[in-house]
Amino acid sequence: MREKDAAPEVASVTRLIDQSRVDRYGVGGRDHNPIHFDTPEAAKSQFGRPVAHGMLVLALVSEAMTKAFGDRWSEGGHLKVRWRAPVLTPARVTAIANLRHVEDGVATYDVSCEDENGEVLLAGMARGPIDS
Amino acid sequence: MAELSGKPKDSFAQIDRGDQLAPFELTITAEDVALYLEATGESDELWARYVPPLALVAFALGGLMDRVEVPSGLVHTGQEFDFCKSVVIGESVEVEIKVASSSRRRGVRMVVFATELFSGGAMVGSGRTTVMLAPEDGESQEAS
Repeated sequence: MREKDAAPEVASVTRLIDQSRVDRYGVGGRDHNPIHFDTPEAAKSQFGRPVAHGMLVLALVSEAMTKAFGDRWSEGGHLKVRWRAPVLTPARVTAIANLRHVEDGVATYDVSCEDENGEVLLAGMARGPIDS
Repeated sequence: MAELSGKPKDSFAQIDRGDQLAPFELTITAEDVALYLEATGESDELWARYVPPLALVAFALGGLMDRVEVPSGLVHTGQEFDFCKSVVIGESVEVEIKVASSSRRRGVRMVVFATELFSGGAMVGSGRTTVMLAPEDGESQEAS
């Protein structure tokens, strides 16, 4: 089997990120920065309203990679991303991963998160070890 | 280079390249994982035994924010992480964070934190977190 054929397909993950989820992530993700909540700080921020936690958006990428790689994601995965645009709630966000190449038993994917209008919210790469 | 005490909180404005946070320990319980998963919406049978790797990163950054006074306008712009080993729920993880770089250009402050996570002396993960702080209205836009 060619090495590229051994790379798992990473299925996209879509989730509604609304303010309720963001509020819960403040507790569950231990990020209490007031720009994420209905606060005066959020109102006077550059966005003018609360924005979702970047790590909450990134969690969709990690979820997609876990579904494809299982525990190999936790034991050899790598990710590198930059946030491109804020998530203003509510937004339906989809994490996408497209195989870029396979080399030395490691599959590399271009990853991104987009909202329902196709705006790229986050982009970068993720790698996972494959069975060869 | 200075070791940041975190007590009382160190100021984001004062930190500089090479500064290091005093190491701290995370022990993530099943309840912690449940709260994280409920918030993200993720579910996988793996997380009945193990900590989701991105939760580890989030909790380490939470520890950073507990120790460094973070301005409300701070924006997380980039994240890089290598996951080396699964962490079992209840396992203790030591977190080491240092300031890998700090720069200011046209009033915009960029800081990169380097994080390393260890358990039983073995590295379980490492990464870099980039944050940006834009100048407030009226603050100088001159390069510095």
